[in-house]
Amino acid sequence: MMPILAAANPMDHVEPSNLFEGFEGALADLGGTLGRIGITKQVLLFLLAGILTAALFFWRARRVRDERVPRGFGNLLETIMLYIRDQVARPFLGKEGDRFLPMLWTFFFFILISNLLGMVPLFDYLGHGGNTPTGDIKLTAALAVCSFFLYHGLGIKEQGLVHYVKNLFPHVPIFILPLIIVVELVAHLVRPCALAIRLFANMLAGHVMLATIVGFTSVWVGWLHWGVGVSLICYLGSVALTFLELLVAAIQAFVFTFLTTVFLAGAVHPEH
Amino acid sequence: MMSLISLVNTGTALLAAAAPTIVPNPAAMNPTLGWGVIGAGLGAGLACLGAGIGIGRLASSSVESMARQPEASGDIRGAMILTAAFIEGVCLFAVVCSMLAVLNLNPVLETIAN
Repeated sequence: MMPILAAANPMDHVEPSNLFEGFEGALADLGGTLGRIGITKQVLLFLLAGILTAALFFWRARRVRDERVPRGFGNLLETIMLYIRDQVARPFLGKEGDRFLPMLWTFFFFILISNLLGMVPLFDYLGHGGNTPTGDIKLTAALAVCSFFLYHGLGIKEQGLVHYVKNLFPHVPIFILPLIIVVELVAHLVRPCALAIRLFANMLAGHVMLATIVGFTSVWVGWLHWGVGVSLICYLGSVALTFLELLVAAIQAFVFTFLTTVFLAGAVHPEH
Repeated sequence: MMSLISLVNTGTALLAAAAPTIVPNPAAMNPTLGWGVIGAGLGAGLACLGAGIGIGRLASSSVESMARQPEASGDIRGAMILTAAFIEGVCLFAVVCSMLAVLNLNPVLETIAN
């Protein structure tokens, strides 16, 4: 939290910045070079989240091959995976939709681990304070574009291109069909944007709010007799807000996965 | 226990109020930009109103239905958290717009100067 307290304003630590910006010498030059090809601290944390997710599941898969009944941490992962299968995938996709489950599980765990990496205090010295990788609109837009191509691509593979395009628009009488086409096209284009902005805004707002309230502890430097009480309240408030941020991280990962499932179900099994 | 939305909107309004330190001299020297800051703060606050009403109605109907049928309370709790996340997402779209307005006040100053 110290780089956040030392920053001039609460937005400082959520802006994309080069790596190692607070240091001098060779490390800062490395950070500048990497920044020129676009590797900011958020991108590095995103890559780290991907590596962590892959490593976690490869390790678990190797353990599952040997034992049948999971214990401990494997039990937790299996509970979460079964929850997504039974409450999210099966109601919309049915039993034969189990082949889409690995992709949905990937989305959920990748976004969950990305969101949780923003809560780890170890990354505070990377730039001007650590931040969530999903607090950058470019990275959540990349995730939303992946989801977009996923459900449209799977829909085209299921039904063939001509049938898929015909089923994109509901069958209505011919004289309001142009209006319906425009409305449906706008709806289809807005969905990935909404996915990206929802995830980005939740993570960004949580971090900015946390930085603002933590920043209040240092405002009262000249007035110690007021400052101690208010700083204590700010400190307790920031602890409570950190717990809220953990909850919001899990909920936003779940909402992204749920909406991807709904769009996938609409693409693969159209109702009309 | 304050909700996330009111806290977030407090944060944005504080950010709008602290904008003179982020957009350092121009906003302090030029009173026209003060209107931009007021607009951003008002926008965030009004978005908070809508989301507050929506989530309040959601909470009241979900708690009432949990009281009517306690054995369905697991399903209702899941649906409640999911739909609360959607409504909060709508509020945060407006908060993102206000943040964009506050942080991009410099181009407004340049067009006024030219």
